[in-house]
Amino acid sequence: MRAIARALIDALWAGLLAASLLFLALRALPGDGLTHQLIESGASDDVIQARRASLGLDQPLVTQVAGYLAGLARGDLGVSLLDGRPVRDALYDALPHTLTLAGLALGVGLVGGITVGTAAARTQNAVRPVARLAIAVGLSAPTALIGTLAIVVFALWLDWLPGSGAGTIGHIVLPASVLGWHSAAAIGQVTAAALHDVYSAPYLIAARGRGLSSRRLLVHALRACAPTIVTATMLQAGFLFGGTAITEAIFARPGVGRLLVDAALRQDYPMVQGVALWCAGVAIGAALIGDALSASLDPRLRDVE
Amino acid sequence: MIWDRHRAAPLIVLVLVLLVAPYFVGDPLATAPSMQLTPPGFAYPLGSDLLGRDMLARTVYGGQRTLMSAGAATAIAVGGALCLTGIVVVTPPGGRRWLRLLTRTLLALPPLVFGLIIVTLTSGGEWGVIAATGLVHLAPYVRVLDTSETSARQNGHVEAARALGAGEWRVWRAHLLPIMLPTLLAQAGVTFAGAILTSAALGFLGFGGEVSAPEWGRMLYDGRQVLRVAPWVPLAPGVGITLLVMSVNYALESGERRVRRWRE
Repeated sequence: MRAIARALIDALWAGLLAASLLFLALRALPGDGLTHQLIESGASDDVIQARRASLGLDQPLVTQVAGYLAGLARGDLGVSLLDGRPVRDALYDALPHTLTLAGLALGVGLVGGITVGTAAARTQNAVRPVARLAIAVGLSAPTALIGTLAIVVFALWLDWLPGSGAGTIGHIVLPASVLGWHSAAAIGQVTAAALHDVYSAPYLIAARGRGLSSRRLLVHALRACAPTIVTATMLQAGFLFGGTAITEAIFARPGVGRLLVDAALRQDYPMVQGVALWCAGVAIGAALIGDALSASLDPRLRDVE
Repeated sequence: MIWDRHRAAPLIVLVLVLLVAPYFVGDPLATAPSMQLTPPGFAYPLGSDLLGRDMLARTVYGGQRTLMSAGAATAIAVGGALCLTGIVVVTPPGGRRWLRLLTRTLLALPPLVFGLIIVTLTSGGEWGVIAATGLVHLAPYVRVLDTSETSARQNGHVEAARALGAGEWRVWRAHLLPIMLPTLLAQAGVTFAGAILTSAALGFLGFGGEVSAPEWGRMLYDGRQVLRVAPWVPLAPGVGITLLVMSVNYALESGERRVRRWRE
């Protein structure tokens, strides 16, 4: 219990530090999307000053940080510099798309990862090199290539599934598989390594000696690997739920990653900040859940400082 | 097979090819409007893109550029991590706690999100992407350095050196560094592989220098627009990235080191 409380406090610290650092880094720089936009549209200096003042950009930096953190505590993430839209609303609109995609991809990654990891570690015949190659390619191939190939094959040549957009169930199959493949490779790699270690552990050799079937042995071994697999899965969850910029760009889907890329390209700092904060929060939360799950699966992890 | 015994062989061959090949191919920027989207063939071994540019030349030059920017980013990450750790070693003990807190905070951001923030700060450009890629991979390197240092300190001879009155810096350089070196080198390779993917991802999203420059991530993006009629345009840079990263990973995959990285 105390360990969980301490982890929670640590996580809060990291979150607060991330929020302040993000704010300082993004504000310390001269120039912002709003000023650029106004200068380009030919606005006079007075207008620019007035707009900056109405958004609080002329205040001292410390006041701005304090104001931002205070707003954060109320759930207020500020407004976009470019169209004055609250960042929170933009995030709320984008979240359902990202959550569905990330959730499905994580499912694909977990099931695929355990399968391919087991195949890479335990099969004897031709399956083994294939599984290893799948892991190696999954870890090395950029999502942009896999996504493009998937569109060419399944959307253009075979015409089975739509290659872009969002809305129906059909629209999510390709992006979720593409995204899930990379996670499956990462989880598979960890699973294979963990299984490899467990199979040389004395208790498993003893179990084999007592004549347990290979299926029963695998169940034992996978149980022993569970904490490792959970940690790897939660790391992937942190990445996936934080938005999936590349996949969303390839399949022309709305979502958090898309929001971030657009804001970054237009130097809309409050938006970048809000989305980044969401990502950091999700990753910290996922790591926390992962630690708690691992501790509940493996008693040895409970008392570790 | 030679690549079973010498696991670095594919990587070395690939790097040599990418370094030498630019002397044997044409101009990656020359456009030929009449030859646009030519399929792979005698004139263009890898086909041509929408502006009639030679995909082979662009892939080769793009590969060279990828090698250099990933190398520069790795240097930033490794050099930065060593500097930070060096500062922590010679300053009072409290510094390490702050470094760990900072590392953990930076690790909380997904790599691409962190990269996008840095790119926003530097307002794009080739060096902006290199700096972003380097900084993204800094925190993981610091963590590995920290972990391996902690375990290296458990050694008896390190304790003995301290008991004999060796200073912090002397202990670090003469006693800890030799133990950590294999891990640090392996992690530098991991960083290099990651840097290739990160800079390609940023290029794909539209960051990193002028639009016409041959850059693998950017070429993948260009290929997306013509993939219905010319799938070879995204294929060449994509396969290039995959082969390069795979060969780096393969070179790293020598026994224990790999297993240790899996555990972490």
